[in-house]
Amino acid sequence: MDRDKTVFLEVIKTHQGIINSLCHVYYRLEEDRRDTRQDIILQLWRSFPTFRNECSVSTWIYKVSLNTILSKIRKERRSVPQESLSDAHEGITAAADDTLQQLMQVIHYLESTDKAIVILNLEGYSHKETGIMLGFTETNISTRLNRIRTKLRELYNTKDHELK
Amino acid sequence: MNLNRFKPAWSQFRLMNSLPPITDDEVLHIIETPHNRMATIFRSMIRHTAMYSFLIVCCQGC
Repeated sequence: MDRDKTVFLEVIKTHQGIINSLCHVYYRLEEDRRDTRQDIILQLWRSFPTFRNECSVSTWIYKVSLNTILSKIRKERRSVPQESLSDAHEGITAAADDTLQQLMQVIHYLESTDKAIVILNLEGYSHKETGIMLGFTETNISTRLNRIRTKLRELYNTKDHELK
Repeated sequence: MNLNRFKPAWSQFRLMNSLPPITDDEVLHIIETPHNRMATIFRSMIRHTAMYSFLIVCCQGC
């Protein structure tokens, strides 16, 4: 086996948690998740020769994985069905004490690109870095994040209102 | 809404996802298959070109 393949296998072994969690966030069916994981690994392998360690390995994996998923969703024109506001609201109310459940509800409620922005935000990437990874300007990311926050605040306010 | 409060939950989620770990053999299969497919297409193209050229040369007198 050539050296490139050995290094690539090591990279995938170390960082497969990122790939698996992204597949899990975007797809609900196990089969879709596995297919997407294959697509991501193939894209990573194709772009591996051009990876020059200018950014960290995990940044490169996030960039390639999210762009692969987003373009796959665009091609298929069938993203995971977005939950309606009321569906998401119901879920959030039911699992109000569990932050992980809330996070999942929030993520499933968001549109594909917004999901990617929130994930990169949770990973601690700056607006500028997120913009570079997803092909947006820094301002665009700030605007989108503000819009997401407002949307989620409204969702939670409705929930609080109903609880009263 | 402050998204920062979800950061620990996201880290937790990353560690406990449902997909089973991928093995080295599976990764090798994924990255080597397209290469094999391209090689097959290339070989078949050469074979067809050779056959077509042969037919053109042979059938010129017909």
